[in-house]
Amino acid sequence: MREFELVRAASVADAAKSLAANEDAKLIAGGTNLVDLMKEGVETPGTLIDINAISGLRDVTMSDDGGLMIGALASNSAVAWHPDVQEHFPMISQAILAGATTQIRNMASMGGNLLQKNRCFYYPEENARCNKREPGSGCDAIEGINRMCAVLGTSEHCIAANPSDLCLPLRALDAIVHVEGTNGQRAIPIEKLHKLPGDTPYDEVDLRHDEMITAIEVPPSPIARNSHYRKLRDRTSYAFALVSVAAAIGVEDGIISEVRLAVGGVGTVPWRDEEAEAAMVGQPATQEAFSAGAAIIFRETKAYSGNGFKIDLAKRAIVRVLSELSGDAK
Amino acid sequence: MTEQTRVIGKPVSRIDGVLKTTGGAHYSGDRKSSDGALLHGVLVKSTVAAGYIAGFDTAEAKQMPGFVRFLSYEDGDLIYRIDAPNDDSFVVNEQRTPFIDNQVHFVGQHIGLALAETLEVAEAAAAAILVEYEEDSRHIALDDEDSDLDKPDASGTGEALQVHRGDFDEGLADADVSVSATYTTPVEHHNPIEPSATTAVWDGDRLTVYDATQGNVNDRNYLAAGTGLAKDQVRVLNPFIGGGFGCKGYAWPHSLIAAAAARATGRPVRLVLSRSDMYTSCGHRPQTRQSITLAAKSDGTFTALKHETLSHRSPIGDHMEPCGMPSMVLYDCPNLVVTHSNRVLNRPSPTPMRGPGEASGAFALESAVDELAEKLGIDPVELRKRNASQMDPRNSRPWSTFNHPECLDRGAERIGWSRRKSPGQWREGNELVGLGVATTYYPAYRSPAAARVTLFPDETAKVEISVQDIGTGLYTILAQMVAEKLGLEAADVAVEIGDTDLPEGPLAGGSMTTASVSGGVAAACDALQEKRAQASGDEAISAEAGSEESLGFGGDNDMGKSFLSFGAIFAEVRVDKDFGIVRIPRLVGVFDAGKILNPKTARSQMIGGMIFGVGMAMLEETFVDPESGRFINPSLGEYYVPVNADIHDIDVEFIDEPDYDFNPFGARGIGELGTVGTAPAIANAVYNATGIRVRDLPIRLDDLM
Repeated sequence: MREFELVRAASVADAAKSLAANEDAKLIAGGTNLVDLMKEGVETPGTLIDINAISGLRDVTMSDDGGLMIGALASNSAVAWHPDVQEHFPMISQAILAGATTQIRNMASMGGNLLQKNRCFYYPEENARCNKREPGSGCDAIEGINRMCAVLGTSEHCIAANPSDLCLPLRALDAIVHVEGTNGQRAIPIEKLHKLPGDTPYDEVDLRHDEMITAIEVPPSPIARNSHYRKLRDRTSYAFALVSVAAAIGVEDGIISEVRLAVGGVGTVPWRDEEAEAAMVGQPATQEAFSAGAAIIFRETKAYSGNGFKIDLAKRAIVRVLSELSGDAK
Repeated sequence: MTEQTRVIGKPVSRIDGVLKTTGGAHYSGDRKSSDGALLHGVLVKSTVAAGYIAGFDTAEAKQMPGFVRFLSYEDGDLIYRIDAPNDDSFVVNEQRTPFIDNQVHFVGQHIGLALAETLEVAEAAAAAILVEYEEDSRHIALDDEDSDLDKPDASGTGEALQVHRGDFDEGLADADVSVSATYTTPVEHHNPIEPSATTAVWDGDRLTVYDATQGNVNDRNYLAAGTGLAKDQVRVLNPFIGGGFGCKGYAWPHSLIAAAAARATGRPVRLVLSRSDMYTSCGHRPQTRQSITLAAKSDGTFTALKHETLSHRSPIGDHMEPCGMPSMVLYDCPNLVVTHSNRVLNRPSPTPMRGPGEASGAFALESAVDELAEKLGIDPVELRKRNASQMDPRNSRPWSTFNHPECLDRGAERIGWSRRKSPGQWREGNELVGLGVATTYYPAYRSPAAARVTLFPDETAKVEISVQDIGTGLYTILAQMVAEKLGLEAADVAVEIGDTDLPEGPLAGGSMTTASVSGGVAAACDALQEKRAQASGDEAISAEAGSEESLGFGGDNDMGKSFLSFGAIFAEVRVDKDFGIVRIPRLVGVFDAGKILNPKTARSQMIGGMIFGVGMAMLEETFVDPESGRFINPSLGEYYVPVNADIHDIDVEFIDEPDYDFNPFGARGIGELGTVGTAPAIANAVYNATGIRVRDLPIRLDDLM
C-alpha cells in the first residue's frame, strides 16, 4: 500500500474544502472497498479524509408522507435492520443483507455503497489491460474470463458489471442522492449517478471531486411494502450476484397497477427499464405478462464467452419474483 | 496392545485449543524482534509467462526512506545451487534454484525481493521496481500441442502411472454395456487461512528459520542444501501451522530466499506471502482432462476399464496428478489401461492438494460408475458392491481390513437410500431432489519416525518429536498415545513438536503422521517402561526410539497385505428447477480407517475433508487467463471456498476396526479420506435430481438451467 496522510473532517464543508484543495485526496468512511483496493495498489490516494466524525449523517428517518431519508454515514447494518425500512421497503433491507458479510455491513456506509467498485477479475490486476484502471490500455475481459461481467450497457471499452445490491432497490424506487461540494448542495436522481462506460469507463459517477454524498432520499412508494430482493450466485453467501432482482408490484383485481423493477449482475450500471414496467401495467398479473416484460428488458443484449446464461437466468428470476409477489407463484 | 484402551479412542478435546483461541499460539509470521533488527521482505514476481529479465530499474525504490536492499538473480551467489531431485535428503515440486538465472517460466515466479525496515516500505518498494523483459513464446492451454508432453512412469509416492493389465480390447468386446466419457477438473488452490511465512535468523554460521511448513525436516534439509550448511547448522521451528492442505508440504523457494536475504543483510528477515503470492508460490491442484471407458456384463461384472489423464506441470516442476490411482485399486477388473500425460505449460508449478490424484481421479471414475449403473439398470450401491476389489488388484494381496461393502450399506441406510427415485422424478415445490453415492478411499502410508519420551517424578510426561500439527489435532493424539502407554491422563503429557532439533519424524502429508509416529512413540514408551521398573522414581527418566521403515508407497511392502482405507459418501441435493442452484442439505460419510484414536478430532477432520469436497464439487476454480497465463482470481473474495451457509447436515460414521498390522495403535490415516469421494457423490446426486450429467467441475447453476 502506498503511504498516505490521514486527516479528519469535522463537517461536510470541511471535507469538501479538503477535497477541493487536494486532487490526490479521497474520502474514507467504512473503507470496506477502498482499503482493499489500496492494498491491491488500484487506489493510491495520497490523502484520506476521514468523514466518520461528521455529525448528523447517521440518521434514518421516515417522513409523514412515507418517504425515507438515510444519512450517508448510516451503516449498511443499521439501515437493513431499521424497523421502518423492513416494514415499508423490505427489498432495501433484503438487498443490503444479501451483500457482503455481517462484519463488512457493520462497517460499510450507505454513501460508500453507492460508489462501490466493480468486481471484474481484471480490474485489480495491475498487469492486466483495464480501461477503468488504466485508461486506454484495453479490456482483457472481453476476450478473457467474463462470467461476472455485464450483458447490458457494455461498450467495446468495458464490460464490467455494477456489483451493488443496494443500488437496485434504490434505482427501482427513484431514490435521490444528496451531495454537497464547495459550490453548495445538489440532488442527483440515482439514474443519473452511475454512468454507462461508453468511451470513458473510468468516469463512473456524476460526482465532482469536491462533492460528498450526504444523504439518500427514497420517495414514498406504497407498493414497496410488497417488494422483494432475490440474489442468485455461485456461493450462498459472501459472493456477488450473477443475477439479482429488486421488484415491487401492485395488483388490483388481478391486473398489474404498478411495477418497480431493477436487475443486478447484468448491467454496467444498476439496470432498470421503465418501458418494461409500462408494458406490464394494465396486464393480468400472470407469468406471461412478467415474461413479456422481462423480454423487453433484455431485447438488446451483448453476451460474452462466459456470461450468456445470465440473460435467461435473469428472465426466469424476474418471472419468479414477480409471480411470488403477486401471489401467482406456480 | 489389547483392544481395551483407556485414553485412546476417547473424545479428548484438543490440548492446544486454549492457546489457539486466546492468541497464545505463535505462528511463523508472528515472531517479534525485540531489538528492531527485523527486516521485512516483499517478493517481486514475474508479470510475463515466459522469457528473460533484461534488467531492473530500482531507482525509485532506492530513494524510499527505510528501503534496505533489493535482491535478484544479479545476486546469484547468495543461494547455492540445489540439486533436486538428485539430492534425496529433501523433496521439492519446483526444482529450479531461486534466483539462479534471469529466465522466467511463469507469471508469478519470484524474481526479486525488496527488503525494508517496515512491511509498508517493502511493499511500496517492490511495487516501484520496474522490470524489463525479453518475452518468449508461451504455452498456456492444456491442449497446446506445441508444448512438450511427458508420460511419467511413476507418481511422487512411487505408484506406477502407465499400467496395462489383461487385454482391454478383449474385455471391451466381452462386455454387454459400456460407457465412455471425458471429465475435467480445473486448477484449484489450497487456500489455508495462514499464508506461508518464513522468518530467518542467522547466528554466526547457524541458521534458525520459523517456517510455515508441513515438513520441517524436509524444509531444513532443503535450506541446508541451498545455504551450503550442514543439516545440524540449520534449525526449523514450526510449532503451529494454520492449515496447509499440501501447499506447505514440500519446500518452496520463498523459504530459501528469506534465509539468503537474512544472510546477505546480516539481519533477521521475515517474508510473509500475500494472499495473491500464495497462488503462484507454493503449488496448486493442476487442471485435468480424464477420459474413461468402463465396460461390464449385463450382470454388472466389470470387464474393461481405461482411465487416461492429461494434466500439466511447469517447466521447472515435476508434479504429475495421478488421477488413475483409484482405477487401479477400487474394483476388480481384469482388463485395465491407465495412462498419464503431463503437458509442460508456462503456469506455476502444481503440487499435491488434499487427495492429489485420488480426488480428481475419483470424480471421473465414480461418475463413470454411476453412468454405467444407469445404463445397466443396476442400483449404483449394488454395482459397487458387486465389483469391489476383494484384494489389492495390483498384487493380489488381501486388504489388511476390508469393509468397503459395509461402508456402502451403512451409508445407504443413514441417507435413506430407499427414497431414491429415477432421475428427475423427485420434485418438491420448485426443487428437484436427488441422492448420489460414491466410493471414497485413501492409501495408508507410513514413514519412519523417532520419538523421545520422558517421565518426571511427579508422574507427568513429555513427548518430543520433530513433526508438526497442521491443525488436525496431532498434539492431542500424541498426548493420548503416551498417556495410554504410561498409564497417565492426556492432560499429564506435555507435547513438544515443530522443532528439527528433536527426534525426526515425517512430513504432514499423505494422511500419515499419526500412523507414522505411533510406532516410534510406542517403542519409546515401551523402553521407558523397562527403565521405570528399575528406576528410583526420584529422577526423570527418558527413552528414545525409532519406528520401522516406510510402508504403502508404491503400494508395495513385504508384509503380505495391502493397506488402504475405504469409505462411502452419500449426498442429498436439492436443485432449483429454474435457476439451477444446488443446495446440499445432507452429506453422509462412512469410513473404515482402522482404529479411531480420537473420535472428536477425527470427526472434525472428516467433516473438514467433506467440506473440502463440497468446494471441489460446487465452487472452487482458479481461472487461467487464456492470453497471459495469469491466475486471474487470486483472492478469497473471488476464489470461492464454501462458507457456512453452503454447508448443512454432515453425518460421519466410522467402522473403527483396528489395523494392528499397520501400527501398534491400529490406526490408518484419515485426513484425505473425507475429500476424495465427495465431489462425485454430489455430481451423481445432481444427476439423480435433474437428469443432467455434469462432467466438468465445478458444477455451476448454468450447467443445470
